[in-house]
Amino acid sequence: MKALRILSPGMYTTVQDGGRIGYTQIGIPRSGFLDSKAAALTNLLLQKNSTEALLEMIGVGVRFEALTELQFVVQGAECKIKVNGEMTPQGLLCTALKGSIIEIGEFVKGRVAYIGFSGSFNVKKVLDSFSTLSTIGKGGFKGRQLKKNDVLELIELIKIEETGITNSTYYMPNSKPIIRVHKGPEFNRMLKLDIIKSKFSVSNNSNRMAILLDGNAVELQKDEHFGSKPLWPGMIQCTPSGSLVVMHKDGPTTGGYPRVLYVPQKSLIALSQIAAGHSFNFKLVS
Amino acid sequence: MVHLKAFGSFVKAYHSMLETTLKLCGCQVKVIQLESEIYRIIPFKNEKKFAYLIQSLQNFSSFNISDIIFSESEILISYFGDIKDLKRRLKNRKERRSVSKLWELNVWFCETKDWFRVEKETGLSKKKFIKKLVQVDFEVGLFGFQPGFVYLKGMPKKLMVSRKKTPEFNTFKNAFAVGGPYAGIYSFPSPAGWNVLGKLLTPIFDWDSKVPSMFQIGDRLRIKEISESQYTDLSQIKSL
Repeated sequence: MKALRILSPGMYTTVQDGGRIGYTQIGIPRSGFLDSKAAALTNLLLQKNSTEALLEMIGVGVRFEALTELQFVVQGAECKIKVNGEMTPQGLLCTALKGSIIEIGEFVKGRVAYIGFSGSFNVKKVLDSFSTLSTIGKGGFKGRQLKKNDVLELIELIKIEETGITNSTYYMPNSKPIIRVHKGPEFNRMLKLDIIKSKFSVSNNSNRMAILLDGNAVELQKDEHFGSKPLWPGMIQCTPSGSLVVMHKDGPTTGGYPRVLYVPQKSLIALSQIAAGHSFNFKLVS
Repeated sequence: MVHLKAFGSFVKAYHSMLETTLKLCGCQVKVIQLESEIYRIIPFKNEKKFAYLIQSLQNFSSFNISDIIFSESEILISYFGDIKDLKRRLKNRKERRSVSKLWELNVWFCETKDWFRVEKETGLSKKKFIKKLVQVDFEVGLFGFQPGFVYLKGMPKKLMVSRKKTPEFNTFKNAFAVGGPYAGIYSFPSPAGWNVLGKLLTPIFDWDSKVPSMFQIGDRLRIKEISESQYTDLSQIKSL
């Protein structure tokens, strides 16, 4: 059933789920939620499994028209949700009548938010997952981010009974997080370790493949014979120019730059929620 | 008291898990835990035995591994359970290792601007370069850096052409390319740092299949040159 017409797609909105497991061997990244905690909460409020498909919005939220009566939940980055211009609390099961205009808008705090609906998206699974991998145009909605005038269909639209949760169940991203980081496999290639204590900020060019960090350049010991090595979300590669790049869910599975640091998955979620331009500190833990 | 003891042994077990040495498939490896279910496996010395371990691990689902990434000198696995259990699972496996297959890859060596670099660096004409290339026995080395990209080992020194310093244009899909010590295949359009030399008649990657890649690491491969008209005709027949 036709359920939503996108009026404004936000900055980067895709269908994501728990990810594509078991294909990294042939170079296909896992993809899936950047903030699995916020996504799980969204699904919880919709009384679904934690890995069910949702719309993931980065930076700016979507504006859409409900083509049928919809129940929805928004979690993750703090936003100002408006239904027909009226503010609606975040983290609650909301209802929008047919013809309503729902606007998530710019995020107040955080970088990644999720919106989920009572039904399931009518999109095809690709290699066991609904997640969009837009780098090669596969999965999710037509293998790409949403555009203006896209019409999304929902199936199995059933009315969710109110659970009795009246207070907003909302997890707020930490605005001043300290990102825990471990030594990466090539940690010893860094010449000056003090650099980890300096401030870094999330670059505007960050995307689902990687979080690019702005900060002081890291000096590296040269190694001409360093070949391609496995990568995993959270590994921080250091480029020849000394920039740090945090690998993320859609990132390549192998890479040829030294992996100087590793952000464990919990901290990676916190890092994913730091808005572009905002700074943070690393804390090296062994 | 009992409680404390149990806790103590847990802590000890956890710490000994951070780094451990094991013999997997006859290969002495160091296993380093990156996080609860992520491990890096690094060979001590014997690269030959490590290649054997990689081939043994390719059908990994029966070993309780949920994800695996191979490179020539390191394996990364997502594995739930006791890593020592992996040793037992590998020992008890039915297939000794995946059987390597022999493939023939039909390539139309179309005109690309990279042929200029090939001719300049190798001193061979396009015709002579292709003549030598089709005699090479390639081996599937590894997959990565992006979906559907395959590294082929076996490039003779005389045919090696350096990679570009900065990737240039978006390649067409199913592009055959050479770069440094490897030949490779771009299954999807991508900015290319390698020298693109031709088009594959048959994609090596099928998204609708349960096993999307037709190759496995260790498979052998030869290139067969086809003409533009053969490429066009056969492509048309295939699309019927």
